[in-house]
Amino acid sequence: MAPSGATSELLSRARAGDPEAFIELTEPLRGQVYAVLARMVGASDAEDLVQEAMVRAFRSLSRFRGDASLSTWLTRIAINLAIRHASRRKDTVPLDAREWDEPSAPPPDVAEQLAVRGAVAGLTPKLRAAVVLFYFEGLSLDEMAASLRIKRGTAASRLHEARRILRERLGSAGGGWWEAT
Amino acid sequence: MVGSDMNCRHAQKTISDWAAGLTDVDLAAEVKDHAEECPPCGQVLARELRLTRVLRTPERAGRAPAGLSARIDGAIRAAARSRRPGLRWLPATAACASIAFVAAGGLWLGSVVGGLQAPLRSVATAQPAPGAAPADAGPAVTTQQPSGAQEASTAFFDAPAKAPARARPGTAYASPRASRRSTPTPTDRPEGQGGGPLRTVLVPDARAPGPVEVSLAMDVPADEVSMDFGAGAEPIVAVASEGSSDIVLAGVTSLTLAPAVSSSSVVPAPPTSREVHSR
Repeated sequence: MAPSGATSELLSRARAGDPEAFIELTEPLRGQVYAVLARMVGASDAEDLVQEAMVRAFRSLSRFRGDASLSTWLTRIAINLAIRHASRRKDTVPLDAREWDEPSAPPPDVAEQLAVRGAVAGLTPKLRAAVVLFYFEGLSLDEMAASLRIKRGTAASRLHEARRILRERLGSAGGGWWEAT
Repeated sequence: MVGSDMNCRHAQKTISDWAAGLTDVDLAAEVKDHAEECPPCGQVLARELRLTRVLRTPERAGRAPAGLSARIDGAIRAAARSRRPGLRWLPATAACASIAFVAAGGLWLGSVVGGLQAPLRSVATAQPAPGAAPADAGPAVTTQQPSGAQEASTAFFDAPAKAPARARPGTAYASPRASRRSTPTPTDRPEGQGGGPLRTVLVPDARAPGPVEVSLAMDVPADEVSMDFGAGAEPIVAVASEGSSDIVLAGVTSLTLAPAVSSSSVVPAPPTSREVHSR
């Protein structure tokens, strides 16, 4: 979808190096980018990465062709940073259980959620990114593939693989919720 | 036939795709019927749906903390301020330095390049650091010898409001990540170093192939010194305090250190070392 006139003008100014235009353009998208990063690397590291993603996006805005939405493009940058960050750490991301708690609308079984979220945190960064975008963020398969710049079939394969690992881990971890199905 | 191997395999594959949300096509009536009549497939359907339901259950990812937005704004403005036409030659210079670096035989397999350059005082010849290890024994960091000692004492990096005009985009903003790192104190500075500002090089996982993250801690005596990290490298953080600077570069594939940096202040990392102190 072509950007509106106002958005297009902001984009032009931002591409010309106007930081205020870029800020205005991306400020509404920061929450989503932060949410994706928080689910990928945890809230603490997400703070740094969202800043890094935004600066990087500003500096490379000339490469934004507009064939995907700005949101998708920003998410792609953020996800790539998160994958690299997680790969460097070579460990699972310690997700704070409280991050998954929603006091105002508690899920049916918080323990169940925590078990699944914990298993997701143990996925490889690429598989985790697929799960975060598709299930947590609600992107379609095509949108997720675009965000990760992979083919649709690859995206589906990653989800399949992620679910297979999740099933295995939830099955072996016990805890009852999986077996009790 | 309900319960036959063939039917179950087909049903479970279809169920798995459907429950995972990977197909928009509704579950065929015959598969539903099969799942209702076949306990194992019914259990698979229930488990897959349950997993999907939990994965799709909205949860609070955490609101961005107060102040983060302002920090991002500051970082973007700092990046914009440092976008100066006069620095556009730097990537080419970095590329030349990298070539010289390779020619000097100090290439360390899969590691580190970046650049510290004073644009007004750059020196052409890159050379391996004294004691640079051979390609199979650890990283070598190339330095360009300073043409003269820098006398000013202004901190190189600072908060956005004090960002030096010549800093490259992204270098002149603070981040808690950097502040959480163990920034060397002035007392870490080795004796008899001849004024070289670089004190410490941190090369996490330095022997890993491909780009790595490099941390540099230094006393930078001139606010006119600019940095270039070469193509592909990205500054993550840069902070300054009490005349010392700490910068973290990501995606670094090579490192060239230019004026105001004493080659004696850089040493190759032992193969297993994750931290290299200057000497």
